[in-house]
Amino acid sequence: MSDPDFIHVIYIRATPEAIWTALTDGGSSVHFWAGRTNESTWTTGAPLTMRAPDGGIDFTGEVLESDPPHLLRYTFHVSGPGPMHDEGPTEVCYRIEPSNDVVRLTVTHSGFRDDSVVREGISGGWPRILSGLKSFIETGRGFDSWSRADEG
Amino acid sequence: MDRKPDRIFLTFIAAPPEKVWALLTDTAQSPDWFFGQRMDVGAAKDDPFLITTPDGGQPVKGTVLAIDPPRRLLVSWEVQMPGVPKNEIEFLIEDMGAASKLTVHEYHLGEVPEKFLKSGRDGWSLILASIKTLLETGRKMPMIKLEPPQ
Repeated sequence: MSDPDFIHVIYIRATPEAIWTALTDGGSSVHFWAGRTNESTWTTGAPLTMRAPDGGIDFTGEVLESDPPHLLRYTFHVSGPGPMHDEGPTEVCYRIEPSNDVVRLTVTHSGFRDDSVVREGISGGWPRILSGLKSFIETGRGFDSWSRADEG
Repeated sequence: MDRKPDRIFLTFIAAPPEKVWALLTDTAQSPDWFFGQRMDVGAAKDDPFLITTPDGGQPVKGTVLAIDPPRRLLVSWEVQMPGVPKNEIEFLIEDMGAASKLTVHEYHLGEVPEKFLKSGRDGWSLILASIKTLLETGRKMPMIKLEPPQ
């Protein structure tokens, strides 16, 4: 038995291109991803690095599938040392579907082992990241809902 | 509350809990975030809870089981369709400092068919996104057509 996939659906008033850009341009994510930046060419097979504000590596991955601005799939491996790192890589998939000036963004995070601490961690993180992404795109401002993340 | 919800939907909104509560419980504004439907929330426990479509249909009826402004609303949620067991829906609003956390808990009091679960996920995700857009931008989110459960 392994833990179930994590699925979060959010609707954002934007074009698919705007969502794709915010997720992949390297710097926009500081506004909605707890200050983190990302580095990748986002082509299939390319490496991916997500960096914390202090420059440390938060997680790494490899792009498995890239079809801008519709689909992005990559592996997600939390940096070590620690129990999250020891679980090995899991998989993240973004599906971006437009509908009447609104985009439906579905994030599916999969590949968890049983009693996964990674799944517990990302379940608290994704709603914050995606809520911040929606605010950033619709209002130009993200926000910090992470300061009390331990309560969430 | 020690029982575990069957489904959880949540979003973070850049607005204080009082504003989130005010929008959630204002019947007149509810069509702006509820696909044009009206949501009537009573003011006290045991008041009726009702959803009304623009053509006067009443797809969901229920009762207010608990109400604690601006933090918690629990209602019975009785979909007026054969084959759907009674649910309870709980809205929770928490102050997270720079944002409010709005959570919807779905409690299933019977086995819910898969097609309704999918409709529930699409529907609640869209409702939460619409409430967030309305509070943060002052504008309605454009209507999206959701597939009804077949």
